[in-house]
Amino acid sequence: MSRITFGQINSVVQTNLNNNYSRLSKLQEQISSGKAINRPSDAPIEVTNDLEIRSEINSIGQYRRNSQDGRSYLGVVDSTLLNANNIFQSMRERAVQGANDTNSASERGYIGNEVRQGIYSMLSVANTTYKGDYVFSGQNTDVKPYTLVKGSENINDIDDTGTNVTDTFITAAQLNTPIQLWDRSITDAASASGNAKVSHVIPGTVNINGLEEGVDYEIDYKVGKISFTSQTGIDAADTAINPAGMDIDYEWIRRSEEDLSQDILRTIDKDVVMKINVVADDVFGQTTELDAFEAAIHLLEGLHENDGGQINESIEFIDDTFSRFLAAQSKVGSRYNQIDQTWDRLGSKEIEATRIQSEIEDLDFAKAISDFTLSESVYNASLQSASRVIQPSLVDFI
Amino acid sequence: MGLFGSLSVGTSGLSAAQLALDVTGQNISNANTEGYSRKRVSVVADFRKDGVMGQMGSGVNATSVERYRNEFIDVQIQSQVGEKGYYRQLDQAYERIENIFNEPSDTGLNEFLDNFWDSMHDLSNNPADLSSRELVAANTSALTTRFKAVADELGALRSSVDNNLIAHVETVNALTQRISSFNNQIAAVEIGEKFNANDARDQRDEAVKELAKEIPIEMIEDASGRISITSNGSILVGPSDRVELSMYRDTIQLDDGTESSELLIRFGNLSVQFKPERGEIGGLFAVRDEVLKEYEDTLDQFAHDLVKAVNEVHYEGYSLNQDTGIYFFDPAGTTAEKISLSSHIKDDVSNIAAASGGKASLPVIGTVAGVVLADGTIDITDDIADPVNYNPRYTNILNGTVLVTLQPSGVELTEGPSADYVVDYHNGQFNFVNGALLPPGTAVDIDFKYNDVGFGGVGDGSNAVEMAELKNAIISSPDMLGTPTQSIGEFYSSFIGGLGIDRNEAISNSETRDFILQQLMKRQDEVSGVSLDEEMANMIKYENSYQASARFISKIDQMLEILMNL
Repeated sequence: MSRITFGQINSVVQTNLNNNYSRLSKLQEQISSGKAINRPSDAPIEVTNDLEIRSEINSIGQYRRNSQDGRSYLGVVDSTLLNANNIFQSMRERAVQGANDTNSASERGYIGNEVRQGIYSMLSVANTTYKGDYVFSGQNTDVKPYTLVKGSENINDIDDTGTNVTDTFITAAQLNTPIQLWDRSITDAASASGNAKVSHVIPGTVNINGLEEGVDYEIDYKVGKISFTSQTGIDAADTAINPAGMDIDYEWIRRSEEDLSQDILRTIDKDVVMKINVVADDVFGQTTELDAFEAAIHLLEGLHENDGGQINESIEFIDDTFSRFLAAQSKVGSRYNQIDQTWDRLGSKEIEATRIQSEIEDLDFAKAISDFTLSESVYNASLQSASRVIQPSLVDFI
Repeated sequence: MGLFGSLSVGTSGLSAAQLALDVTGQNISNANTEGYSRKRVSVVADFRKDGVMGQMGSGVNATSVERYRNEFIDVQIQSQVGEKGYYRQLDQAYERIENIFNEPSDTGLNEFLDNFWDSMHDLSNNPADLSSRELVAANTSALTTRFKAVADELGALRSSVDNNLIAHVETVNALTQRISSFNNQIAAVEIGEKFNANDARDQRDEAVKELAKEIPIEMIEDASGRISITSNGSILVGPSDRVELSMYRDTIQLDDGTESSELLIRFGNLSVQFKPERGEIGGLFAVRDEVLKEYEDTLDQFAHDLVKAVNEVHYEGYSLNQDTGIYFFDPAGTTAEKISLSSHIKDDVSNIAAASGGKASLPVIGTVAGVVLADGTIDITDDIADPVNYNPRYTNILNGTVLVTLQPSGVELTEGPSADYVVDYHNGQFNFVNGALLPPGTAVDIDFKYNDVGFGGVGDGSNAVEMAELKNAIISSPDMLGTPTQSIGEFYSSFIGGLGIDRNEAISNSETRDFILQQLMKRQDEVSGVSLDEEMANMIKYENSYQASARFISKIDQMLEILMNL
């Protein structure tokens, strides 16, 4: 039989008390933090999973934010297209109204004023922004796609090549030869004048000092060319009318020559990229075809010049524009739906991932507290038995 | 035997009982003394030759005081305290490393890394917005600061280990000093093998145990009772002298010309150095040279992978000012200590390359003189020599910038399918449709503008997307063939999991050694521990024995009195 000494009992009691107490303190840490895992050594594999699920939740949240942003962007584009559609709807009504030859020239002029307002509204629609970015400019989000430019040109400075000529350049021979208006703010070494050509001049905004449109000159609004039909006031010698040479004032719509064709993308899920913009070409038409502004200008020109045939013709152009709007709208609509579905799906994925994270990280309180109570009673029992076993000694009895 | 002889028998009983009581008292007093072994008096019956009876008892003789101790268990304890000390140091180090990394939490590297990827996504959504660029820079700074903090704290742990090593080596020197002086005391007392230096031996055993906790040792005892202690084959304590240990920094010239310094323990003035593999000192060396090194290296690898991957993508991209070839992280900072934003990004956040294409500051103006081909087309090709294609076509021609003139007349042609020509703007091809005016072979001059690289504009965030998606890219922890097997995040997660496994291993080793050690101590205590009950019983026994001897003497006294009164 082995000897049992006070020292042995003491050290066994101390070790066991210490073990019981550290178990209590571990449970206490879990309960007070509410976390089952407080450091990697608590559960190494779970910690690895936990860190990965945390990253996953972060990613899902980010993809959701991206989708949300894309959805808002598409929402803005969609309502913009609706606006454009409405403007053209009323323009088409004006065209049908104006095409009727019972209208007098002045009545057509009034209708023309409304159409001109419509063109200005279209400009602001085409320059719609989302958080300060132009939505129809592709990735050139800081570039206004269409600008209303007030042009001014001294007639002394131009002939068809845009170069300065003598003051007396309009000779009888040169009458009826169209001269080109130039965009003096844009350098274009490739062109004869060293500038870009003006196009899309808005009918009714042209004013040449002292001359009358239709009598003294005619304008091709779409390509920005003027032909003089009378020599009145043109000759520099006629200083009574034009002492300093004639000024031509006009308004025109300049489309930015930057590349407006690039896609704006949102990463809405892992490896899922969604285009959220529609580009100016797809909505308003390419510069090489008859674009929306040109259709409106065609109508306005017809109204301005009291030309029923041209007004009728413009209805067809406006209808072409409608079909472009509709195509763009259906694209935007389907993308909106897709992005919305993704957003929903990410939402449920996020809930699921959060549930998994909670399963890994969060404490099962009921279990922890019952474990704690159990450990507590074990600890109390060990304290009690220790005090009993240590107390009695032969010393007490002699 | 006369009555006086009987008196001396009684006296020997008295003094033996008193000695035994003294020893019992000593045992009781030292019941709680660490390393004390209980003692007992060894007594033999005294006798002399008697003419009548042959042999006659003449009382009791206390021959020696002996200690109870199992020296075999002592040797086992010595090796286990060394093991325990080793794992205790590892456990403590892992605990501090766990605290340094502080995972899982909202302030660990994992969270900062996720925030970094997120801000890249936000940048891709608003590439022209300076505030989203500022956010990328701020989140990156938070990440690099966290990297540096972790590296600094690991460095602080390393220097505290160095300080600990010095303290532990001093403890070893103090212990060998004590053992050496006990050696001399024991040898002086036990000369001639007549007496036992019991208490000095107890204390020397305790000192040896303390020493074994620090450093692995071997021990032998010589005939004079002195012990010699060696560690790693070199003498620490000899029969007459001892050797001081000191910390020694050995600098080695490596093959590649750089120097590497290694911390070692040196024996006195001898050129003998070594690195213990067990004991507290061995544990500290393992922490310093294996554990910390591994964690620092892995953290550096993590920083390196991140810097390399992000920089590779960023370098190819274009900034808001359409500059390219910019590094996002300082390319020289590929360790956790040195990782930082490059000075370009620090100076100006618009240098973050969110776009994947750049452009010339103005569209480039091209002029091509050519002839209409037989199929009515003409390619307008860049004059940059292309060895494969000869001349690549101009692409991305800008709408509305094309001017085609007939040569040499200079007559301007009209664009349109029912006019003179049409243009494929994207592919840079002209198709001449007015065959009557422009038969094959006609010379034309074509002027136009184009973007020479595919820069979409300030709203181009595609390079930022590419950087953000590096989160999922498999670029870390290459296998044996060098093929990466994990994403950066997965690499870090499994690294933290590995930390948990390492610490658990250290804890369980430390607990196992602790358990074994307790069993051994218990066994030693069974032999050498003082039981108060036993001592109390002995005390009663010796007290009674003392009383009985006294009675015996008083009885002899009465007998002598009777005799005297005759």
